[in-house]
Amino acid sequence: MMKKLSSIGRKTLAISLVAVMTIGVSIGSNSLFAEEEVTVLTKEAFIETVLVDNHTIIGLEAQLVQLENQKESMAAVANMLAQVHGVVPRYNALGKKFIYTRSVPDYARYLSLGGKVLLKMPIEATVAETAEYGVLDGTITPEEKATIMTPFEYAEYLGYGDALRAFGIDTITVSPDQEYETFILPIYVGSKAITSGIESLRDGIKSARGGISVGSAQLYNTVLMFEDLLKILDLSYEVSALNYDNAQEKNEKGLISDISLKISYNDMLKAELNRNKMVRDIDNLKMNMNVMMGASPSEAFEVIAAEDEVTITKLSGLYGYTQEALVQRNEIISLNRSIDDQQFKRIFVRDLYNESDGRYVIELKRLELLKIDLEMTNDNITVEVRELYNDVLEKEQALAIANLDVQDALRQYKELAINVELGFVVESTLTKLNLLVTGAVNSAQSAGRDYLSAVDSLLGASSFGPGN
Amino acid sequence: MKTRKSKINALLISTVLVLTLISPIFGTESQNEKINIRNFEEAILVTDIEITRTKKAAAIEQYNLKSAEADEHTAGDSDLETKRNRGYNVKKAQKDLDYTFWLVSEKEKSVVLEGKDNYFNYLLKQDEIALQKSKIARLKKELAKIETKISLGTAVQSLKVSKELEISKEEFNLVTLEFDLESIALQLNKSLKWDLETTIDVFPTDIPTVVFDVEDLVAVVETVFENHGEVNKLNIELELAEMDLEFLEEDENNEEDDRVIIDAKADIDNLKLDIQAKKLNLEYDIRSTYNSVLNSKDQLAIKELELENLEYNLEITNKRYNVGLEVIASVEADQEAVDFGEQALKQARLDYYIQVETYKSLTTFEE
Repeated sequence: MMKKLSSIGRKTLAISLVAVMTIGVSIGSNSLFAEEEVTVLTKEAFIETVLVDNHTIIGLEAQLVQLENQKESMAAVANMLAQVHGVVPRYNALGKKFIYTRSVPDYARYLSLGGKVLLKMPIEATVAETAEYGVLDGTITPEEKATIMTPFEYAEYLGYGDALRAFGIDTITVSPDQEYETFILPIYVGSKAITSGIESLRDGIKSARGGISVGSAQLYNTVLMFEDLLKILDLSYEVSALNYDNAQEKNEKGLISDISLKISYNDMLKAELNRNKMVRDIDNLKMNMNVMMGASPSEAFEVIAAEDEVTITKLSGLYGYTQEALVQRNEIISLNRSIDDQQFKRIFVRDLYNESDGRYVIELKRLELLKIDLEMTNDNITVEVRELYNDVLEKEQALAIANLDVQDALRQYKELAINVELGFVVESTLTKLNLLVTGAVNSAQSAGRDYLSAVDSLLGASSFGPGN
Repeated sequence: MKTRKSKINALLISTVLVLTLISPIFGTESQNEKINIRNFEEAILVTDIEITRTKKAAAIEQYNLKSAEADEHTAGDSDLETKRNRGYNVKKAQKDLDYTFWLVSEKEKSVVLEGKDNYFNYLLKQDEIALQKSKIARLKKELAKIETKISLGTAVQSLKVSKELEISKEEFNLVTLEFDLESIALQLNKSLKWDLETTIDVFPTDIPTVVFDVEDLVAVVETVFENHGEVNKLNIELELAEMDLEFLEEDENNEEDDRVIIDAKADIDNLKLDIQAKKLNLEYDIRSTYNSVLNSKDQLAIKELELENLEYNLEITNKRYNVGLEVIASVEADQEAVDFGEQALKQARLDYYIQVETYKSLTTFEE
């Protein structure tokens, strides 16, 4: 679906971004004006390095290995428990000696659960055979009673005594809750849960990688955007310096007051200070990039523009993106998986106990809560995608306006150039306008990057999600 | 009958007594409390729960250290335990204690810094509200003049509408400022553990002047690496992990490829990586905070230049007014712009002060 979205109806807007623009200041050195050797860092190389060094991903991958190992050992434990479970009675009453003598059906049920052998001499006893010992009708003698094995004794006999004690079972009986926690969950529910857990973690890693990639790309784009802004601030400084030169000339001719000259001078100083502040902001962003790559913050590098043209992706309807997100987002996949697990658990518990049992009610409530979670997540994602979709439309409009500004500035420049040739306007005005044209081009570049970032965010949100 | 009356009286008296006792809890009437910067700083350090909790943890760790010291020459249940009793456990307990003390001092620094920020911002916001109110009053005066002109037929209705719009915008700004003030007051009350409704009377204090000279940043980073509590803690944890590996290797029950040895080696590698990552992050914090200090210093200079220009404008308007080229309303508007410019300068001064203090708190350590 996403392939289709990104390949259809593209048109190229007539904005050409200047490919690589070298900035005239060194970055990452905490010094504004020192010149240093810099390494060029492309966006792709940056993202790749961040992913290799990212602690979240390393941690998640280690968790995955652990979980896979755990799955193996859990399977072994579950297997052992399954054998023991067969000999431990489900109900307290049945664990007590002689109580199963009450009625045949009770004992038959007990046998069906695996409690086939309860005598000191373990034998595969049928109901009829057991009856021969007088167990069922309560006619057994005290001597015979002494030969009956308790379930725990039998487990010991089979060699599972230590294992049971490790689970906190050291009496002859197992309470229903103990049975549920110790046997039912690990044997029947746990293995399914751990498999789901592994799948969720795999999705989580995929999502984290996607999120970190988008986050890194956005940081990289921010640096590019700030560098564009720096160019505008450079121009602004040049314009203010020109204004000051003009003001000086006018002041010398007595056309403007000393105060106006001072104001013009202060404006120039302000422009310079604003420019210096932007250099430091870029410095901070690049230091952050270095730390993300596990490098020293003061490492110097130059960020280069990855795209040389902005292509406008013709958006398909909002509905398509929303549906895509509701199917592909990791949160949804995880919740659906949890709901499946919970369904399984609910049915399992219902079959084992009954619908009025407290355990069943709890599992049912958990299922309902998960469904509510899913509903809420659906709503949140729908809103998020809608906002991102609108953001793309807004950024596209802003880019179109920025383009028109460029065309307008160029038109003014051409008109003024004719007037300069005719001698109607002084050349310094043309220089100022030239700077403004360059400023408009830089603004359009920034708008282009903003637009691309917005598209990336929308595409990200309709697939793996925003990540971390 | 008399008994019944006296019972009712007794009930009433006891009800009044109970109400008197519980009324401070419910805080039905808001109190009015005075604070100055000094008693405020002292009070928030005492009331901060996190500091109190960490100090209590330190007391437990002091006890742990004493126990470890007492057991230093005692034999353990195994060879490994005996070896750990000799120095290792003491070092570990000492590390935990030192780290907790360091956390207390870091928390104290951040509580004081946040408190000062709120204290001064409260004062600034109060001044800004007063300025905003006088701005609205001036605009209303202008509106009245426009209305007179309209009634005389010398102004059009649209002028009145746009002035009214301007007033409502400024009134909205006033409400926003008042909300901001309320939110800072809540923060102040919260940090002092006072009733949140308490009206605070903040004693006016000038924002301290700070000097920040460009220094050798590389040397600063090195000093921080040597003194930072987190780095120290990790370094000692690494030493302990290496000691423990030695103990485990000396144990003849352990083979080189045993899980316990492999895990211990992995722990050491992880700690080395943690130290490296911590240092990188610290260096980033120092350098970016340093840049932020310089940026706020430049911002302060920008606000000074802007104020200077506003004062120049006022000077020009005054001169034009004196020769009859400007009306008094323009002078008033320019004066107001100067007042707001001064206010903005104070805000920039506070931001600069807080940034410098943040940098200092990151790079200076108690002896």
